Amino acid sequence: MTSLLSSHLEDCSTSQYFCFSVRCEVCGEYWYSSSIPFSKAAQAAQHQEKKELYDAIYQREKERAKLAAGQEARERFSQCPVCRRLVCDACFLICDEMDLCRECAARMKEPGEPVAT
Amino acid sequence: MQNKLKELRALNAFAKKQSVGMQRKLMLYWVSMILVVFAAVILLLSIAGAFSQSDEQLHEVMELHLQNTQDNLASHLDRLTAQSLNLSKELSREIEGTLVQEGISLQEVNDDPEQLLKLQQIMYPLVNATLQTANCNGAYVILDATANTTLPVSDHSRSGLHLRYSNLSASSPVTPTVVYFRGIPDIARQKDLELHNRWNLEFDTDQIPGCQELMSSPLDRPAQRYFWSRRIDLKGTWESAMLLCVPIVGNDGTVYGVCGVELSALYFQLSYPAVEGQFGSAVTVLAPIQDSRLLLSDGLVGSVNGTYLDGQETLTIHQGRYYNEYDAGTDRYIGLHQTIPISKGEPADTVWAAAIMIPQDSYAAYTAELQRTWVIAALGLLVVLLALSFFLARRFVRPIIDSLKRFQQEELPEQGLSSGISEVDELAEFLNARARNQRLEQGELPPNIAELFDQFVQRKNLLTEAERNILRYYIDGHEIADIPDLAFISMSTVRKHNRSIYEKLGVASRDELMLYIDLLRRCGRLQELF
Repeated sequence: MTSLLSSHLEDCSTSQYFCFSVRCEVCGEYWYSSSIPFSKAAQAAQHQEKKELYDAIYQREKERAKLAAGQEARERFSQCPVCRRLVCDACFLICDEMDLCRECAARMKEPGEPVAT
Repeated sequence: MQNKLKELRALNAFAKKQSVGMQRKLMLYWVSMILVVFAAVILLLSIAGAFSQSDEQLHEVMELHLQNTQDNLASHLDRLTAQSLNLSKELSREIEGTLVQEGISLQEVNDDPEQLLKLQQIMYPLVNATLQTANCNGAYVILDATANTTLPVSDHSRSGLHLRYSNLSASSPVTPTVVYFRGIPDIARQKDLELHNRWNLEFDTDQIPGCQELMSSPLDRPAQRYFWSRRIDLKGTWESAMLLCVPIVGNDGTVYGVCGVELSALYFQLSYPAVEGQFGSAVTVLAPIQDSRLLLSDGLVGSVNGTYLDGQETLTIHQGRYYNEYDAGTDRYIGLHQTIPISKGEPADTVWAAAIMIPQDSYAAYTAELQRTWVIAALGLLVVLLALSFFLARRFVRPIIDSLKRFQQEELPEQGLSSGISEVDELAEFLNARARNQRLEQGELPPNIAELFDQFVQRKNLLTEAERNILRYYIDGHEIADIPDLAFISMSTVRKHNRSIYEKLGVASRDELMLYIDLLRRCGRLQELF
């Protein structure tokens, strides 16, 4: 799941903050991870001569932020076992036989309750 | 002997191998202990002399009794001796006075009935006074003279007076009748006395051993030699008596005759009644001892009520620690005796003794009764101790046996239900724990736990397939955090499922859920959840 989410994380980071988003493949809504500020954002701006160094730090922190975003997205996204799409909790239904995305459930006429409203 | 020892050892080893009940074994220990204590008590009592106490008690009682008897007898006989000596002196004075007055000697009185009558007339008041005042049943005087020297019996027939009581009995001891036993009948007529039905004019001195010798040997004074005769049969009567023989000594040392008092066997019997005591009837005896034999036939015997004595026996004396035994051949008596000097100038081989004796049978009956009491008391004590030991053994063993029965019936005592014996409780707890473990290992559960498990398994049917899928992850040992990666669902979905699972299975937390799963796994019932 973590690797699945990692592959679906879209980078929305700036030079100041790290942020990632995941798009629900059913409703199309984006979910944004919590912004994590770059620790050396100010120094990087002031010391252009150390740009490479700060870029390296930036990349490292970004990887960490991506992992954290994946963990955070893990709370909210599931994979529909039928259509294999990544869906948010609002589009993922808890059904009797198997949890399904809203569309699959509707297609198969499986009643279910969304994880989140 | 060695073979027997081996057999005993083998028997002991066999007995040890035998399984014996706890109560019986405890009872055996108790009984052994009680018997040892009992034997020790008996031994101590025996050493302390509890069982020979009756002998010592008898000795003390008899010694006291003998002392009293001897004092009474000595006092009685001394008083009679004193009165007889006094009688002798007064008779001597009267006889001498008469002989001087008549101008004759005593020898000349022989064959002279008138002089004899005269002498007897002056002697009568003195003899009668002695009879009235002395504690005896007869008084007499024998003169060394006879009314007819030509008779063949003249050498041992002597004139004299003998007054005695005739109607002695225990019922009327106060008013005895004086009868005239020996003497010239004229005096009896004068004094209005009844003649004894076996009256004789004169005494037969051969009937009184030592009398003739006493009269034939000159003496300085009466107290120089006097004696009590051995018991003699009164001629012509069924009675027997002892006579105190005191010489009547004149101023010149001539012995005029013999005087004294009579103690008949009947009078002695009435004077010395048998004393009833706890050991039996104690009889008073005054008799000579010869060659370690008590000659009752020669002495006097008090009342023999309660004994088989007839007063004629010769008793062989066996000295004992606490008392002497007097063997009459067929009967045996026990008692004590002490020599008592009652004569003076008598041969040394004649020793008189005062004795008290009781039938050995009655003492044996007393000691048997005492022993029976001891035995009954001891047996009673033993029975009480055994009953107590039985009671204590039963009381001690009962909770253990009850617990064991419960163990056998697999109704192990619950915690808090104490048997009163800590070891048993500990054993019960141990067995409980072991049984619980065994049940769990064998898939058995306590009834209430099993019910809970059944309910839990039943509730499993309420779960949806999706929830069962989540539950399976838990059963496989995964944590909550693992499930999103495994099931490709969000953590929120997992939590929502969890809430539903908990609610449906009736558990409050994941820990409780995991406890059920763990217990079901240990009971081998985990498959029921799938």
